[in-house]
Amino acid sequence: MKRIGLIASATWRASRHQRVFALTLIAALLLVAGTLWLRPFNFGSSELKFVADLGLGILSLGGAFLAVGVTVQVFFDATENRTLHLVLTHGVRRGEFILGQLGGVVLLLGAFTLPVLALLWSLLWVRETALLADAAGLLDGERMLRPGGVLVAGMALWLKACVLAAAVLWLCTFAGSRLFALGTGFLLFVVFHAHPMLVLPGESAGAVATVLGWLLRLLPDFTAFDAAAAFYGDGRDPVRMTGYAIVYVAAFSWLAARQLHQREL
Amino acid sequence: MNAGGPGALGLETVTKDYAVGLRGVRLRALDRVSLSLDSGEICVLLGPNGSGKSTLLKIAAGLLVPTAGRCLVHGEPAGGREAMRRIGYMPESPVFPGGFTAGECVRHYAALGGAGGAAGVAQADAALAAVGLAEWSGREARTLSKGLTQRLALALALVHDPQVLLLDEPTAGVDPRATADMLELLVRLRAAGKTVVVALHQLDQAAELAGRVVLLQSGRMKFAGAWAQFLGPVAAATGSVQSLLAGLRGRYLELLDAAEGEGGAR
Repeated sequence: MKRIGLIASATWRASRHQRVFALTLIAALLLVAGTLWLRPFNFGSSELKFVADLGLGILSLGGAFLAVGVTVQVFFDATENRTLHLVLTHGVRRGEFILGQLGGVVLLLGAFTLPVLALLWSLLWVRETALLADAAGLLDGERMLRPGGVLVAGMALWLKACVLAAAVLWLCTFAGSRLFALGTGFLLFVVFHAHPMLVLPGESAGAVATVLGWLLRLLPDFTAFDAAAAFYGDGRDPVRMTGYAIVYVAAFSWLAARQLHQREL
Repeated sequence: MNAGGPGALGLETVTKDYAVGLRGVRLRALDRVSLSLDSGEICVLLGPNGSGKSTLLKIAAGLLVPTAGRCLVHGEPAGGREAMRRIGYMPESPVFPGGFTAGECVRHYAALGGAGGAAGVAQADAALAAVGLAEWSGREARTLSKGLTQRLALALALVHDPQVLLLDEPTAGVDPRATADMLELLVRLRAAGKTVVVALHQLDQAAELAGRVVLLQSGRMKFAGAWAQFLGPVAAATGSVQSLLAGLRGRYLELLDAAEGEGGAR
């Protein structure tokens, strides 16, 4: 456990120094702040809903970009720069290395999600306060924004990015190049979102189609991490969501550790 | 060189095949290599690129599993916890991540090896001092010169005080002065009782170490024996060759020192 913590802390520290993190964080903060100027293009939605949806979308895409980009970068840096060789010859097991790297990326994803979510919440709170003041006497003064909902929404997006990072780490263990891992990583993000469309084949389908259908259903369903629903307090259970994420993170980590065992270094 | 007997490092008819390409075509990197080294020995691995030197070192370090045969480190199977504790491995041309000083790097690896806190700091300081990097410990590792980077990699291999050192081209891309320092350090480590296995390309460097020689080609061991045996009929000329090489290095360093002196005087 100590070795996992040490690798996680080194991964977190090394990835924090990469430009991709700083640039993604700055871009996300600017885009979220910029939603205030995009309010006129709300397509008929209420102002707060428009800003919230746009902000959560930016958070989701930024998180996915980091989950794929940083995971690929830290893994291939470790193998190409021979850090992995050094780590393994200091008594670290391959499974510990995988969990440590994932731990570092998970911390980084948290460091991205928290400030962006805080900015989004602050903007919404300021606008809601202004709107309530403008409509004084017309509305009952009850706020739409609930801190619990905002936190669960942020947690949902963070968990989603963590599952994606674990899947990408598994990809990296058998990928021959960074480009393959990056491309396939982003494809996974799309496929996991399209999970509800992966319908089971009917009775007339052949054995291969049936097996394939069931295998596809084993993939994580990213609609389980519906941040917008959580944001508006539709009763998403954070404990259930966390459990769902942990199952997939554990499964992908196990697969990654197994694959790394077979990889010729 | 005794094949397969117990010692600091023993390889018993080790064969390693790599699966290459999508079809998994077998490429033999090592072919029935046997080797036995005792404590306090230096073994120089020589051979052209792709001859299997790095593969042999990786198998001894437990990073690769042999296709056939076995490798033992002080009687323990390579790759096991006990064997890992006894080996120090220096990969070829490592690159260190940004944001870490040389001292932090060494302390990190000391902690990974199980020495945390004050013990880890003491081990890291000792390793840095052993390779002459103590004064550079506060410098960011990524900004170190090639020679200092190689020394840092050696410090990482040494930090847990292993008995067997496996070094993959420690002098690659390093200037003559840093090379001389590195070779001198290896000789000191041997004198301290360490078993040193080092892959090299330069014959003059092998001559300076003058340990056992293993010559590999296409994964096969073409020669294994003492330096004097390796020289064979050219042994008679060795004195003059070695003195020429030593003289060249001395002249090079002398000129450098003179230039430094003049530079300082200006």
